[in-house]
Amino acid sequence: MIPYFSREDVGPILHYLGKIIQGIGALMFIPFFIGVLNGEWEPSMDFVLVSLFSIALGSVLLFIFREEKDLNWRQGMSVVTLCWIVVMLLGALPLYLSGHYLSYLDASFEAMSALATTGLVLVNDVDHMSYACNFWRHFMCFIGGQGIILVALTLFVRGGSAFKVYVGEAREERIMPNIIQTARFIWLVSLTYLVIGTAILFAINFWRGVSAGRALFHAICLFMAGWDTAGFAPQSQNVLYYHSYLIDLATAMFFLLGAVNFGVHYAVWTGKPRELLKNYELKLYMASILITFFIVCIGFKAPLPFPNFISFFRESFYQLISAHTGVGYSNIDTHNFSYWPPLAILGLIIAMGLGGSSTSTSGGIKILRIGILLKSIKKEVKIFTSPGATVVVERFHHIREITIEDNHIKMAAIITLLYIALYLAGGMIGAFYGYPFLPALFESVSASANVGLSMGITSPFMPAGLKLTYIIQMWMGRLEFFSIFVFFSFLLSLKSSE
Amino acid sequence: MEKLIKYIKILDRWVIGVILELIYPLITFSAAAFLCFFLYLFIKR
Repeated sequence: MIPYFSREDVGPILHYLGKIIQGIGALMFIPFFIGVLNGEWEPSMDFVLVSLFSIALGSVLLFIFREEKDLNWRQGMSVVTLCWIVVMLLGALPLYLSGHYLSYLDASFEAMSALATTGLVLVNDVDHMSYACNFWRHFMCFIGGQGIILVALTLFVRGGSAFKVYVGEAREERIMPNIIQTARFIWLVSLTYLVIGTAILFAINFWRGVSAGRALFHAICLFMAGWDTAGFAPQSQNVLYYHSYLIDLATAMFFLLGAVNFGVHYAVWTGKPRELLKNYELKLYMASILITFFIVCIGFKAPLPFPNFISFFRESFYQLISAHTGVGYSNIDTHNFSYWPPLAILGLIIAMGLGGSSTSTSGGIKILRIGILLKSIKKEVKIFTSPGATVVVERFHHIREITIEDNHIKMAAIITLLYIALYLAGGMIGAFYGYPFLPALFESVSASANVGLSMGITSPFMPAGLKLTYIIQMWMGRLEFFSIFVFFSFLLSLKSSE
Repeated sequence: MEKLIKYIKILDRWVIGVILELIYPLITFSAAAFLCFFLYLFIKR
C-alpha cells in the first residue's frame, strides 16, 4: 500500500520549518553588524526588521506546532523543499528594501540564485550597493552552498530526522558514520579554506593597492561565492573588475577545490593522500575538464579573437572551468560571448551540464553519475562479448571500492535524464519568449546546473515568466528533483484526502 | 602533553592535506595549458 500524507504530517514539517526560519532570522544579524560598522543605518534597520519578523514567524510556528517528533522520509523531504522557498522569500526582503531591484520577483530571483549557488544576477547598480546588502548576497551563497539544511543540522536538528533532511538536500553520502559529525566536518573544511582563501585574496588585493578594509571585504565575498561555486562578485563586472592574473588563478584554484567531493577532502585530511590519485570521480573530472576544453578550443578558427596565446588560454580556460565547476565567475564581458563560435559555446554548455563532483558545492548532473553510466556501458559490452555463464563485475574506487549494482545505474540514469529534460525545457521556454535557441539553452543549463554564466538573456528586463522559470530551474537543479517530487505528492495527497 | 602531541599530529595531517589538495588544481591547469598551447599552434597554422 502506498503511504499517503495526512494532516498529521503538517505539524512536524512546520515545526522544523519554524526552527529554520528562526535560524535565518538570527543569521541576518551578521549583515546588520557589518552595516553598523560601516555607518549604513538604513540598510542596517532593514536587516533588523526582517530578522525580527523572521524570528517572530518562526516562533509562531514553533508555538502552534510545539511537539518535536522525529521526521519520516516524506516529512524530511517536504521540510527541505519548503525551507528553500521560505528562505528565498525571507532572504529577498532586505534585498528588495535596498532599492536595487525593480520588483520583489527580481529580489527573489537574486536570493534563489545566491542560495542555489547559481550566480545569475538581476541587481541594478551593485557597484553602489551598501556593504551590508552586498555581504548578504554573498553570505546567502555560503549558506546555500553549504546547504541550508547543513546549517540547521549543525545547529538544531537532532536524532533520526538528521539523515532524512540531509539526503533531501541532494547529498547522499555519509562522510562519517554520524550525520551531525559529517555536517560539522563539511563546515570544518569550508571554514579552514575560508581562512586560507580570504588571506590569499586579501594579500593580493592589498598588494595591488586596495585599502585594507575594502580588500578584506572583497576577499571574503569572493571566497564565499567562489568556494560555494556561486559566482557572485562585489562589483558588476564580476572578476573582470580586478584585471589580475593572480585573482584569476586564486579564485580558479578555490572553486575547483570547492567542486571536489567532501569525502575526498576527509580522506586526504585524515592521512590518506593516495585518495587524490586513486579516486575515480577525481580522475574522470580532470579528463572531463580537458575534453570539454578541447571542444571549446577547436571551436575557434583563425583568425582568433585573442591577441596572443596567454589571452586565449586565460579567457577560454577560465570560462570553461568556471562553467564545469558551476561557479559562474567570468573574467570577460558578457557581450564577448557574441564573438565565441557556436562549437565553443556548445563546449561550455556541455561542461555546465555535467557539473562538478557529488557531495560538493557544485551543481549539474555530477561527474560520479556520468562515471557510473560509463562503467555500466562497459559492463554491458563485456556481458555481450563474454561466454554465456560469465559473471561480469565492474568496480571503481571512490573513497572505498564500490561494485556497480543495478540500483546505482538506475539512479544515475534517472537523475541524468531529469537534468537533460530540465535543460531542454528551459531552453524551449526561452525560445518561446523569442530568444535564439543556443543562448536560450545556454541560459537554461546555466540556471539548472547552478552555474551563473550568462549570454545576456538574464537581465531585469527579461519577461517575468522567464524569471519564474529560471527560479524553478535553480530550485529543482539544486535539490536534484526528488525532494520536490515528494513534496508535490504531499500536496496532491492532501487534496485527494479532503 | 600526550593530548598536545595528538593535536599537533592532526594539525600536521591537515596542513599536508591542504598542500596536497592544492596540487590537484595546479596539475589540471598545467595539463590544460599544454593542451591549449598545441591547439593554439594548430588553429593559428
